[in-house]
Amino acid sequence: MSQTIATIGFGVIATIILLFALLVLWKIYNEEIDISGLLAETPPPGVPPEETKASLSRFQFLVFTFVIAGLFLLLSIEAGTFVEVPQNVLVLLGISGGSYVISKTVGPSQRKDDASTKSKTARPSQRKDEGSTKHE
Amino acid sequence: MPAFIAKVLEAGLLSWMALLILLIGLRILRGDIRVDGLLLHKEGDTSVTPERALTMAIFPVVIISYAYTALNMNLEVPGPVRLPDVPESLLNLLLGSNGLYLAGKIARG
Repeated sequence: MSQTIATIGFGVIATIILLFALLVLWKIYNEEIDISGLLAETPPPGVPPEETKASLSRFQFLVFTFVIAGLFLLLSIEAGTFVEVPQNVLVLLGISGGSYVISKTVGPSQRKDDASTKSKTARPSQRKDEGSTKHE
Repeated sequence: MPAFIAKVLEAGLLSWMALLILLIGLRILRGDIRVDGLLLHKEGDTSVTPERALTMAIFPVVIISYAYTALNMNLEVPGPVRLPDVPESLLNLLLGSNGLYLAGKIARG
């Protein structure tokens, strides 16, 4: 009896997981889930994501994730059990992920610095303009 | 019966992964996902930056050699099955190229 319940439970969970996976794929295919900015760099303020260039670190992270996840899935299915992931492989993923995070933080902070220096240089002239309009 | 469900789940997950990769690949080929500018520092630059070109040359070598090793490993050895180790030389190569890439990104501003 308990064996039957376990089998039914396993079947139900497997169906739910597969349906969920299928739904995600279907929504991506129908463009309800938008992946057009998957490789795009974080856009500067006022620029739409479609107009930014691709990010090398994002691309690298995507390729590493897919290859290692694919190998893990494939070898686990072939071996009939979960394969162990050595520390070196985690380091490999960590290098790629770390590069992505650093690249993501460096980009926007530099843009903010650029924007603040631009606004500082623009302020004196703006103040003059404001002053002249007040006198008028 | 559980073995049959497991087989279906295995096939489903593998197909899902393959379809997802195919979908992203097709979108990239169709131009819906932009991959231009991978070797440029900023949008509108005309020259390729060397550190990006180096990273772009090295990381496929690392990942292809690792995938080749993993796909040719013997799964019938006694004991728990594990993914193959990444050689130190490949790790250092990737670390060096990514370090250069980040240094270039920071230095160029």
